Amino acid sequence: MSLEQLLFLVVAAVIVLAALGAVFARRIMHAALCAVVVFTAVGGIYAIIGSYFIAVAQVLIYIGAVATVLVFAVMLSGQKDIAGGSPIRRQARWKTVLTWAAFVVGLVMVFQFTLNLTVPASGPANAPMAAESATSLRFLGQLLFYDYLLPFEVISLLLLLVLIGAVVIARKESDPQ
Amino acid sequence: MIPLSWLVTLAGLLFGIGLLGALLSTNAVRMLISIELMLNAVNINLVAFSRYYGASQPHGEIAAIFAMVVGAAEAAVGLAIFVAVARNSKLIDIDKINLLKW
Repeated sequence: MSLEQLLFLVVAAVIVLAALGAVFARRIMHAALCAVVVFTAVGGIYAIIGSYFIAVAQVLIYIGAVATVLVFAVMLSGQKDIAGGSPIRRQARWKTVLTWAAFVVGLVMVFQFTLNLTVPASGPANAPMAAESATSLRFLGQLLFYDYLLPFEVISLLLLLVLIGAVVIARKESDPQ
Repeated sequence: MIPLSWLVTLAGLLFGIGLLGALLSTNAVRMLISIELMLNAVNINLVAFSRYYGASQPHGEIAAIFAMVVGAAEAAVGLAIFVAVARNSKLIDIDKINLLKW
């Protein structure tokens, strides 16, 4: 097992444990901080497989923006967690069992699918990482600003609308003009 | 190098955990956190397949970038809604929010 694979396994373990923490932590603040750990570690995964631009974008967007918004919302919705402690709803046991069963079945299907995958000769194993990443970024930029120019502009408009909409929604109703 | 199946398995695990959280949690903010986890899992898949199958045509990474932007937008709007709801009714238990239910 190479060093790269060892690093991947460690980061993957961090992701899974922190994700479980985000779902099952009793305090919602702890859940938000566990989510930050997941976002960071996923950025690490992107760096390990050589997608450096996506790794940087992950850190900028998820840790810089989403995590901050999450923590703000936890603070602003300022209230204790739902009484009873456990974040998991207690009624409807069979729904819980069904969810877990669906989760396990889906996971088994994923295993079955990935065991049959073969990586073509153009995979990253056959290209020197460092030399390729620079040209990979060039390809990314060309794709983004030539082939995907219209979606790019539309999504920038979407961001503008979302910012205005979030401000309008979260504003106090009885604003004294 | 990392086998592709490891990456897809990691993404599947992360998506499953996020799905559990989204379906089972009662707190609205925790539900949003779980949805963000699921979006991250999808992004891992997109980037991994783009990386292993199309080194010079990274369409998957473009899709991952767009998914990130939409995820951030969804987080902003969703959390604004929950802040507004929490201001009006002092709780964000998603079983109790039935304002729009007829």
